[in-house]
Amino acid sequence: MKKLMMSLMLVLSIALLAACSGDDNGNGDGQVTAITFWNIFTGPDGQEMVAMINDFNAQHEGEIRVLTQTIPSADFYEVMNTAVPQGQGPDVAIMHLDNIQRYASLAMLYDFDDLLSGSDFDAADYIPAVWNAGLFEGRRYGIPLDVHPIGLFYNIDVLEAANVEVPTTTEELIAACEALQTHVIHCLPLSSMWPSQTLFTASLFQNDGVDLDENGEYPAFNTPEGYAALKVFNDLIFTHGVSIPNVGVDEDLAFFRQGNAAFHINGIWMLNGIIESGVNFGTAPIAQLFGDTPATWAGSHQFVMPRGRSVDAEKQAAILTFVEFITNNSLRWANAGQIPANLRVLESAEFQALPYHSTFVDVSTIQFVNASPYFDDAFTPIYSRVTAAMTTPSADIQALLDAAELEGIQRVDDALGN
Amino acid sequence: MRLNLKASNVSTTPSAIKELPKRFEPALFILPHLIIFSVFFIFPFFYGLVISLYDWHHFFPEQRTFIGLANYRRILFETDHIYYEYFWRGLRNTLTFVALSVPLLVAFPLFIASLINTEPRGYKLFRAIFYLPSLFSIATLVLIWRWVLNTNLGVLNLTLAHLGVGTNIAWLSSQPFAWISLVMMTVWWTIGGNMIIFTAALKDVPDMLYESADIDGANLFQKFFRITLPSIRNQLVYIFIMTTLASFNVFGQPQLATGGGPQQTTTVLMMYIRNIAFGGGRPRPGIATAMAVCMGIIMIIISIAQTRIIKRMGD
Amino acid sequence: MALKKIEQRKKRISFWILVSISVVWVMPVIWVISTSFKSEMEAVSGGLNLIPRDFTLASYRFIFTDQNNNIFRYIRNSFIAAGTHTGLYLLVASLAAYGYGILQFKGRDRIFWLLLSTMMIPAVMNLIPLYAVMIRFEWLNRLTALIVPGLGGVFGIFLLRQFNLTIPKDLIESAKIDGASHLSIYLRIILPLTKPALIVVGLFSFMGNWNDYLWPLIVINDDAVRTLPVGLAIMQGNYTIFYSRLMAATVVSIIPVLALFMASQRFFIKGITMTGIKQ
Repeated sequence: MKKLMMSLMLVLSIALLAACSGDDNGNGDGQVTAITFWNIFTGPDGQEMVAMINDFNAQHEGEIRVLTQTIPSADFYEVMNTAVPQGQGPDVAIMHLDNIQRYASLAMLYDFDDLLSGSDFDAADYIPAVWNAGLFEGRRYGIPLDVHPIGLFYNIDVLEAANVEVPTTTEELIAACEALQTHVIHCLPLSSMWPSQTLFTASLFQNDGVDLDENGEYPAFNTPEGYAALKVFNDLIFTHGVSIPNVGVDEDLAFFRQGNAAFHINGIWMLNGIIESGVNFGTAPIAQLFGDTPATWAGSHQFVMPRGRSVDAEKQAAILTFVEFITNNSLRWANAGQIPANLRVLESAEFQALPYHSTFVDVSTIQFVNASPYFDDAFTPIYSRVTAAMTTPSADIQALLDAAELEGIQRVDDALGN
Repeated sequence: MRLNLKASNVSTTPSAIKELPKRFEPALFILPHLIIFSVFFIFPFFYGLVISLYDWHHFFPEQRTFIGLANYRRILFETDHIYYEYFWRGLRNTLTFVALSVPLLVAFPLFIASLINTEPRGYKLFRAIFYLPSLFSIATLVLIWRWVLNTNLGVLNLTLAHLGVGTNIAWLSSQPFAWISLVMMTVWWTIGGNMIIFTAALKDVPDMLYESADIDGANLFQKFFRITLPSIRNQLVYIFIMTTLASFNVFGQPQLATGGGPQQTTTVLMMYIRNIAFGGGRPRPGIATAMAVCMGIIMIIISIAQTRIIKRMGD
Repeated sequence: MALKKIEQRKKRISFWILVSISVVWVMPVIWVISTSFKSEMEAVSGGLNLIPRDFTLASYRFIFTDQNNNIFRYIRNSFIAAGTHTGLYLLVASLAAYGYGILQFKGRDRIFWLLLSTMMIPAVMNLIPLYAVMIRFEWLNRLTALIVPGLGGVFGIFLLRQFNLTIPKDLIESAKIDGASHLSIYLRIILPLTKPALIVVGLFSFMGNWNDYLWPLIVINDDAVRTLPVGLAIMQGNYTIFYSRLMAATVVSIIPVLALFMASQRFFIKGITMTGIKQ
C-alpha cells in the first residue's frame, strides 16, 4: 500500500509539474509579420508543405514568418466552427472547394477581392471551374492550390502476363476482369466506403446526371441518370464480380499494394503510397469507366482567410505573398501527389514529364460538384446509400435514391428555413 | 486498526486554525464542492432547459431567437422535418442497442461470477483477465476490434474461413452483423465491473441455504432461481439499472467502429445529438438540447420503472 | 466425503469452462500484440500465425520516431488532465464527505440526499449547456475543461461518506475534548483512516478521466492539448492501412493503464465491490 501511495504521489507530482511548465511562445519583435496557417495535410504531402513553408520563411527572414499547424481533415471543420467565431481562427487556412461557399455564406471568411485587385493573380491562369468555385455572391473567397482527381492504378506485370489492355469503358473493364481471373486474386476491389462517394459522383456525371438543381439548393440526382449511376456499382460487384463485396476502407488499397489486385481506383493523393509499395504500376483515367460521357471527379484545396477579430491589412498583404509563393511553386506540390490548379504549371514541360501525373487524368474531363452553400445538406445523404448499393446484392436502387433525396430535401428545407 | 496511535497526534494543531469561528466550519468543508457542483451541474441543467427553447447559436448571442416549444414540436411531431426523422431513428437505434446488450451484460457476468465463486485453481487470474478490458479507453477498444473484425484480414474471418464456415462477413458494414459486433465488443469491454460485484454478492449467500436445498433434492436450476437470484436481488437491481443507463449512453462504439452505418442503422441518438449540436457547417444546439432533454426524461422514466418492476417481482 | 468430491468436481468443471472462455477473451489482445511485431507486408498477408514469421520492431521504431505521431504528447496530456483532476477531486470530495458524514449541522442530511438524487439526471442533458459554460469561461481547448467540471461529481463523496460513517464516534469525540478543530480531525484522523477508500476513489476518477472520450471530443480541438482516446481515434485515420503501426500504437496506449492495474489490482476489486454492495 505504501508503494502504491508513493507511485500515486509520483504520478500526481509529475502531472502538476507538467501542468506548470506550459509552453510560452513569446512573440518576436514588431518588425516581423507572423501569419498562422492551418493545413489539413497529414500524409507525405504535409511534409512537403512544411518544407515549402520553411523555404518561404527563410526567403522572408525578418519580414514574414508563417507558423503552421496541421489539423486532420476529419476534425478540421469542427475546429473551424468553434475557433473562428471566437476570434481564435488562423489567418489563412486550406479548405476543400465544396465547403468554401458554405463558410462564406455563414460569414466566417474574408474575401480576397481588394487584395487581388493590385496583384498578379489572373483568372486565365487557372482551370476555370476551380477558379469559379471560390466565388460566392460575386466575391472571391478561395484561391486554388491544387486539384485532386481520382484515377485508375493498374498493375503492369499482371496485365502483361494476361495480355490484357487497360480498360476505358465498363464493358472493357468487365471483359478485362474475366480475362484476369486466373492471373490475379482480385480484379478491381472497390471499397464500399470512402472513397466510394467520389466514384459515385464521377459515375453520376459520366451518366449525364447532375448533383443539385440549377439554383444550387435541392438534390437533383434522383433521375434515370442517377439510377444508372448507382446501379453500375451494384452490377459490377454482384453481377460481374469485378470486386468481392464488403471491401473496407483502404483494404482495396492494401490489395493493390500487395500485388494481389489488378486495378485500384483512388485519388492522386495516394500516388506516393503506391510508389512506396514497389508494385510495378501505371496510371490511366477513369473518365468513361462508369458511363459514356467523359467526366472525372476531383476535389480542390484552396486557400481561405477565416474571419478574425479585426482586419489587419499588413497581415493580409503578407498572406497574399505567401499564397503566391506556394501556388507558383506548385510543381513541388505535384511531387507530393497533387495536380496543380495553375495552368502555367500544369502546361509546363516539367509537369508533363512527371511519370504518373499526366496519364492519370485528362484535365479537360474534370468536373466539380456544385459547390453551393447547400451542397453538404443536399448531396451527402446519398453517400451512405452508395455503401448500401455496394454491399446489398438485391439492393433496391430506386428506394435508395428516394431515401437520399428525401433526406437531402429535408436538410435543405431546414437550412433555408422553409 | 491503528486508531489510538493517530489520535495522540491531535493536540498539535496550529492555533490560527483553532480560532476559526465554529459556525463557518461546515461551509469550509462542503462549499468547495457545492460551488463547483452548482456552476457545472445545477446551472447547466437549468440553462439546458432554456437553450432548448431557443434557436440557439453557440457564439453569436445576437443570433439567438426564442421560439418556445418549437424545437420539441419539430423532433416529436413534425413528421416531414429532418430532425423528427433523426430523433426517432436515433432513439430506435439506441433502444435496439439497449435491448440487445443489457440481457447479455447482466447474464454473462453472472455466469462467469458463479464459476469464479467456486474458487477453482487460479480464479484470481481469471478474474483479472475478465476485468482487464474495462481498463481500455474506447479508442483502444475499437482499434483492437476493428482489426479483429476486419473483413479480409481479421482473425475472426480468417478463423471462420479456416474452419470452413462463412466467408468474408462484413462485421461492421452489414446488418445484422454490425449490431452483433457492437454488442460483442461491448460485452468484452464492460463485463468486468458487473462480474466483480456479482462475485462479491454470491460469496455472501449463506452455504446453509444451498445445503438445505440439497437435502430437499433441488436441482441446479431450482437452486439458482429459488436461492441465488433472490439472495442477490439488491445487486441485481443495481446492476440492471446501471447497465441500462450505460447502454443508453452508448456513443463511442458505433461512432468509431461502424460510423453509424450501414445506412444509419447504428447511428444512435447520442451521435445525432453530438452531430447536430457541434458538427457540420450549421450547428443547431437548440434542437440537439431538446433531443437531449427528451432522452434524459426517457432514461429517468425507464430507471424508475425498472426499480418498481424488480421490487414488485420480489414481493 | 461425498460432498467434498462434488465440490472438487465443481471446481474442475468451472476451471475448464473458465479456461476456454479466457482463451477467447485474451485472443483479441494477443492478435493485436502479434500484429504489432509483424512487418506491414506480413500484417496484410492474411496469415493466421500468432508468432510473426519475420519478427520486427519496425513499427515500434516508427511510432517512437515519426514526427507526425503525437501519441506521447497525447499520453502526457492525459496524465496531466487525469492526474490533476484526481488530486483535486480527492481534496474536494474528502472535505465534502467529512462535512456530510462527521459534521453536525442543520439540514445536513437533506442537502446530502438532494445531492445524491441528482445522480438520477443523465449526463446527456448537461452536455450542450456545459459547453456553453466552457465558451463563457474561455476554457475551450484548455485542459482545464477536462479537469474542473468533473470535480462536481457526487459518487466519490457518497463512497467516502459511507466509509466515514464506519469510524468510531468515540475517536472523534475524544479528539474534540482534546481541543482539536475539525480541520485537524479531518487531516489527522479521517484522512489517514480512510486511505483505502481514498485510493479507490482516486483510481476510479483517474480511470474515468483518462478514458473519457465524448467530452474531450467536444471541448478539445487543438492537437497540442488533445488527450489519448481522441488522439488515438484520430491516428486511426492517419495510419489507415498501416495495421502494424496502428497496433503498435494500440499496445503503447495500453501500457500505462496496465501498469496502474498491476500495481493496484486489489483496490480495483475492492472499489467495485464497494459500489455494488452499498445499495
